Amino acid sequence: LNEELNMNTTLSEDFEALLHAYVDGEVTEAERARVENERSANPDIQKKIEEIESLRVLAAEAFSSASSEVDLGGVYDGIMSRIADEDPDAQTQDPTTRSLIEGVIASFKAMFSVERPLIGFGAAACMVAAIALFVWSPGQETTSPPSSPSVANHSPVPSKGARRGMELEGRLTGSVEKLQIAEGITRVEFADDPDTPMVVWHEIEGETEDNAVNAQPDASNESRGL
Amino acid sequence: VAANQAEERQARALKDKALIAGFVEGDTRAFRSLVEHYQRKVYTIAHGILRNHEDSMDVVQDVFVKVHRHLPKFKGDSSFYTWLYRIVVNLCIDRKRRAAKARMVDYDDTRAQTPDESRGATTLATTHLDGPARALDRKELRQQMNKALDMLSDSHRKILVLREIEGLSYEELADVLELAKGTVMSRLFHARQNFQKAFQSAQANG
Repeated sequence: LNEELNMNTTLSEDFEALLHAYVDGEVTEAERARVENERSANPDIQKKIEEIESLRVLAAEAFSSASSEVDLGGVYDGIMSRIADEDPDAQTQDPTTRSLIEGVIASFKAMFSVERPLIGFGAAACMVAAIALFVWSPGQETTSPPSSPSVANHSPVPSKGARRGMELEGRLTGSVEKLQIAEGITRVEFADDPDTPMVVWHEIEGETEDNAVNAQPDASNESRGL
Repeated sequence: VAANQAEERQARALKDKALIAGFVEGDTRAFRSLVEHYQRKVYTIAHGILRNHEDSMDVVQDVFVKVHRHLPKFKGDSSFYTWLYRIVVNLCIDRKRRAAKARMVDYDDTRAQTPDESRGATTLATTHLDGPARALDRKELRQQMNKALDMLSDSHRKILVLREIEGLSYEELADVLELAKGTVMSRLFHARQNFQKAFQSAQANG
């Protein structure tokens, strides 16, 4: 104890502060040399250095013990929720989801762009074929209730109807707005541009006017089918 | 140890820079990475200053909401983590001011030591850390450490947590705490001394 007292009486505050900086690795070369000279000459300084090192460990332990077991699992979601509340335009959407949606949109744009007419027509043909298959469902039993105004229930040629021949006109740039069947022709209108509606003609063999009228889909069928 | 910490911080700074660039370009995964890497550090600093779980959790959210808002304008003059820690410290100070809570004990940097205090401080490490620390019940030791932290002033807790947990250099401490480098050295020295005394007092009072 006396030694410790003596040590403290001989160590100035400035020198003690320097010892802390030495332990922290924050001294100049000259200061380092000074501390190490003193250290080799005075064993109390060595003890003091060890004490500072122990104190650092204790302080780190004191701070980290309070936080090491705290559950921070929901922090990110909470942050993003707050950001979305405070600024709805903020970029909070997960890029995985965004990139999927954007990817699909980009693919469709690319497919239907005028720069790639062949692919556009091919894609349009596939789309019309899919629409026609859904509308006509030739030779297949429907599972819809009879009272439903489903297009499939009004298939003009339930057992023998065949889809054959396909002619496309124009290009596809938007979603289907109207589906009309008349005089053996299925007419699909795309509502991308009201001034120049996109039209796809699809001829169905065996179509009759009566059937075509019956096959007029209502809005609910159209939206569901597409 | 200091050299290793410096290397780790340098590597981390490079990684942060890449994540920030990703975030600015629209990759929210980059922001998520930043949050997930720093949220516990932010919590630890906030808790180190505020000493309250709920307040610290609020600060964690406040900090990252602020980071999200201002990150596109972050110039990168300093490293991201020093910028982040400055936000943490400032938000904690704001919160403390708003709450206007009385601090339990405020040890001033310039307070003179009495011989008794010096004697106690000197014997602490050898008497209470090496041997008995292992023998003490862990929970009891934790309580004593928490009491000791509660007894420190905000300014001492701030500098201690940033140095001992985050390993900031004196220059970074000066940057985050907006102090002169010489003041950092002096304040850290006094903060450790006071922590040592506070810990001893907590042990003496059971």
